[in-house]
Amino acid sequence: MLRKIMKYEFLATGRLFLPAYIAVVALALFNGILQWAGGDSGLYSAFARADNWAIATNSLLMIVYFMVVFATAVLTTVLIIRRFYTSLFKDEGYLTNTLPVSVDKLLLGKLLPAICWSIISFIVVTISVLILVAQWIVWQDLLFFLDWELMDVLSLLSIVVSLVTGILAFYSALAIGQLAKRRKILLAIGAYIGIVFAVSLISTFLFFNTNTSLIDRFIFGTDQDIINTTLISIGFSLAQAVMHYVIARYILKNKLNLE
Amino acid sequence: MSYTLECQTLTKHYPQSLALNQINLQLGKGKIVGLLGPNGSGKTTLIKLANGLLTPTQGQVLINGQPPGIETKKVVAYLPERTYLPDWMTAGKAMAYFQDFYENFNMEKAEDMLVRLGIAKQDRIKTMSKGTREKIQLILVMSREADLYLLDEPIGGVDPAARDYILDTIITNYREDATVLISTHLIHDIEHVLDEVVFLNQGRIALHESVKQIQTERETTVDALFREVFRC
Repeated sequence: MLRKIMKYEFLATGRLFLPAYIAVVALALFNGILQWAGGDSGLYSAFARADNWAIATNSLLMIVYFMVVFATAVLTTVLIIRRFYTSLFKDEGYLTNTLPVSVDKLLLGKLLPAICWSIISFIVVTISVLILVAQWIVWQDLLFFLDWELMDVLSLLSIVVSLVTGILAFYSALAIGQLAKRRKILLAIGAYIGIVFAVSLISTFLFFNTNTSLIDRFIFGTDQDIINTTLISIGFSLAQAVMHYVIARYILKNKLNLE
Repeated sequence: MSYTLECQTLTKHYPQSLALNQINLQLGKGKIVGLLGPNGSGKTTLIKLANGLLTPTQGQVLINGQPPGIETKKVVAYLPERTYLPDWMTAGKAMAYFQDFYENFNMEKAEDMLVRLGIAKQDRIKTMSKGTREKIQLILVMSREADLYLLDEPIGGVDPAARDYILDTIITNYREDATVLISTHLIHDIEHVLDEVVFLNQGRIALHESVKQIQTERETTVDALFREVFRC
């Protein structure tokens, strides 16, 4: 059942993400080719020739590219939030919530595709930047990416865990919003602000506390100190993720009240 | 023995109103039951509670003896009073969706009804009229071989010709031991298909009788009785 939920989740969201990805890569390619082609086409040559038209068109294309990159980042976040909200709590919720599927599968069926899209969005934007600056890259230099150390693995893990926690924070805030008799979105926003505030408060105590001075050890400490601090931060993030999941699950299972 | 649908002191409060007030109701197998009442009498609330879309304030609702959950959702076919299909789907995709999630979905039956109603599989939900969307949803719901059909205003939004077809679809497609609960205020149109009626008034059951009883003992029609009970 999880597989099926995910299948329809990808179908529902893919038709919105794919065009955005195509636009990012196409614009990067177009801009990139203009710059690589040499001769009179690039921005550099336009400046050299003091050709205002060429500068303007080249700059405009660059601006459009950066706007599309920015739009992709915003789109990813907005779609993840919107999709969760509309498919569970609006009209489509009448369909989703009457499927013979457990709440866990519903939640994971939304969460896993959301994680995938976030990672794909990041990869697509990275590829587009590489395309754009391809002519200046010394490709051998990029080989150091293949040289993994423990700390690199931990950093990557920490990023992925934060991503999951970030998405689940949206889910639990939206679910808490459903507890309101009216103005559900307002309560959801309030809940989200509350979560962010509480987390920063606790992190401050945890990491900037003079007793632990975790942040000092992270910056000035030994390799082992850095690893330990990273592990603690991953643990802290995981604990939040579990809390958000439990909240969203409890509300969907026991407190559902569709309008 | 457990009833197909049972409500035990079922109560639901909304912020401004009491939608259902201590309802006790038992529906057995193999009946077509009309859930009748004026607007705001609690019909939709009752059906949503039975689907687990609302949480009761007090009391409980049981389907085959179980509270709403995965097991009851397998055997309940629910037609809500709104469009719940995502608008990016086509008719064919929506059917595939039902086939994926409901083991008791009969694809052949659904395809057959789709053809008879002149809807193409590749038609998008987005471009359909409200009436066509309602027809698609009814096809999907009635193509399931369920124990309990909960139909919320199935004929409210369609023209009288389609109304006859839909009622015909309902009575010819449900299994003999299945129960059908139809909420509506268009009593005259559905009177002839009902076995029992439940009158809801301001969150309370005003009457629960068989149609035969109403016709022979009270010597009146459901429509006339309704007008009498709910006289303004």
